[in-house]
Amino acid sequence: MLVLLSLTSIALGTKAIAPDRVIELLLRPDGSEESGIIHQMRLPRTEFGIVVGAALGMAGALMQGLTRNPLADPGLLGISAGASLGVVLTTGLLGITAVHGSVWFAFAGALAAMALVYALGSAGGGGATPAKLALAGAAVSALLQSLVSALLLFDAAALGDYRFWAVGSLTGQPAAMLTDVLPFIAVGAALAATTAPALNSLALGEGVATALGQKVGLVRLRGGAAVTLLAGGAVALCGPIAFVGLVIPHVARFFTGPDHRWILLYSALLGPSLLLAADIAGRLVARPDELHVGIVVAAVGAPFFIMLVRRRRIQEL
Amino acid sequence: MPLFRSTPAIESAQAARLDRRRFLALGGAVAATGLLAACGDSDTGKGSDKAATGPWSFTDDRGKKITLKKRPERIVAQSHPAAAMWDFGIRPVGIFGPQKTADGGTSPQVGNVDLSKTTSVGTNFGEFQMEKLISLKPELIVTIAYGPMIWYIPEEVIKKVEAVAPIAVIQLMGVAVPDAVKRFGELAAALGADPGSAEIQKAKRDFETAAAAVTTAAKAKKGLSVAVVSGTKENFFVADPAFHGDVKYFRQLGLDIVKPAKPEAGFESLSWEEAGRYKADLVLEDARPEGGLTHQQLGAYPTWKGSPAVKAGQVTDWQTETPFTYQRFTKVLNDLAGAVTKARVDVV
Repeated sequence: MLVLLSLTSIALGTKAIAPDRVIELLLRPDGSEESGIIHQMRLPRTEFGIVVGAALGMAGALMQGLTRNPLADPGLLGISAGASLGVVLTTGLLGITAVHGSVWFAFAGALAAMALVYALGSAGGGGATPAKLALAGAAVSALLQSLVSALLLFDAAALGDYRFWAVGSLTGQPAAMLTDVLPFIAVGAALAATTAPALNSLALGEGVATALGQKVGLVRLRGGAAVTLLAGGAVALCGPIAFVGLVIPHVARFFTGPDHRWILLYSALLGPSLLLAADIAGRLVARPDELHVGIVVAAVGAPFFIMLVRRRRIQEL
Repeated sequence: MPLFRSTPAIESAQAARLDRRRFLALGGAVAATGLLAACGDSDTGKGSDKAATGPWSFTDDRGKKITLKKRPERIVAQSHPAAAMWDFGIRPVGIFGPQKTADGGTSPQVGNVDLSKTTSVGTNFGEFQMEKLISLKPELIVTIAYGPMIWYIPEEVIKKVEAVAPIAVIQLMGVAVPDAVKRFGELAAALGADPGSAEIQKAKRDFETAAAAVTTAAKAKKGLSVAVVSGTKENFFVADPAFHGDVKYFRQLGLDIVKPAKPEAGFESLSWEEAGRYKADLVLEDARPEGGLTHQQLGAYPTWKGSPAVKAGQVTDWQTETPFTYQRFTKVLNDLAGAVTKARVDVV
């Protein structure tokens, strides 16, 4: 399905290009405008969709497993808010308007926010329990968001960049940024893969997990690092695209049952499928204009999520 | 796209940059109210009392008649009308709207206004430092409008501002530059300026000479098509000559301006894939430093880089921030005449 969607994403756009011409141009790029559209616009946005979708899907699955909360998504730990602050700081305070400037600041913001949430969440007795992390995440998010609002009030130029970024789009960053951020996401994916088996025992409860020989604290730390790399990278590249991290793990669980290794794998495939499908839809509904993927995902994701919840009770994790 | 509409605060700040989104969001409202019809109305302000004493009245472009006991002396104006009236010799005591560029220089939007001789009462859309405004004891507040959209005085604050002093609104949507300048002149005259002074008459002649140069250049380049555009990361915009007073004027001067098929309040918004939809020999590209992409950034898009005008090197600045005054607009026209003269007509 993902392969099919990727091909569709290259073939369809606001500008109609005949399928045989698309294939011809894919194999033999010429200097034409259509060739430019396919190679410099549609291919990169498809790649962004695949990488970011997979990262968000995995981050979501991991988050829900780690916190044993079916409604957890990467935003819960302050990642989106941290990245937002990074974007606003870039243009607002430092005056960096270079195209790629904001990616690294968004990434750094996400990492910093996550670190702060962990520091707050692990303070006091009992270490970093899911409930404490969620509370710390909510508090840090609120703090960062108010900082973002304050900065935006003072700086109209920062607002322009922020507004675009906050909608969520696969076309906001130059194609080269993907290769720069990809290693971080890859490390995150590897960490996620090694964490997944431990999540299965964690699902039985903390006590049982410990009895089975899992170092619960270590699992959470490693999982948290994976989520940060995955979601931080995705958010830095394409903005806080909602719902992918929330909905996809539920869909994956529908196919796979409770084994986190399979959930993670399916999420990595279903995430990009949803993102690409939404992006393609966004190109087609408003021709010759287009809707950005963040809007379409939210519009499609919300009713879908409600349907999912109504059809079968969300599994206890 | 009204879909993108966000909170009033965000929208306001957007509009502060004369943001296209705002224009777009405005679309339906403009069409519905048909306020444009009011712009062409001949002015009743001319009949106002020229003497500094005695009752004074002026009917603004909303059709609102402002009556005062005497001619107002203390004016607070938005950047654009402040610049327009400044060149007619009116010196506002206060100013609101854009005054500085991001790097601290004087914004082109204030034209010839000497910022050290006037007091700022706010710079962002809807931002009024009320205490400052009141302490200036203004007798009249002047701003412009694009359709029903009162510039820099959103609905939320209009009551508060109006309580300080009456607001005179000059309509600019679809008003060609010389008509707008004339209208500003009428308001300035009502406020005691003399548009017939030798200095202003000379500025007017220079403006007309520059305009004639555009016409001559356009005649010499039969078949030259011109598109007026702007690009953001989100979209590519093609300007509607019926909306923008400057573009409308370029058309009146004989340039063949590309008219987008489905403009919404000033622009047709296109996806970047579709940026090549309207072809033109010469492209005027939004020169504003904020809110749009620079020439260099535009180069990242194949549909821009590969477009005929860009390949032929026939892209020049669209000076959207220049206030409509004889003095300031003469240069815009001369530059345009120069660009047209240099342009090849066989690009598309």
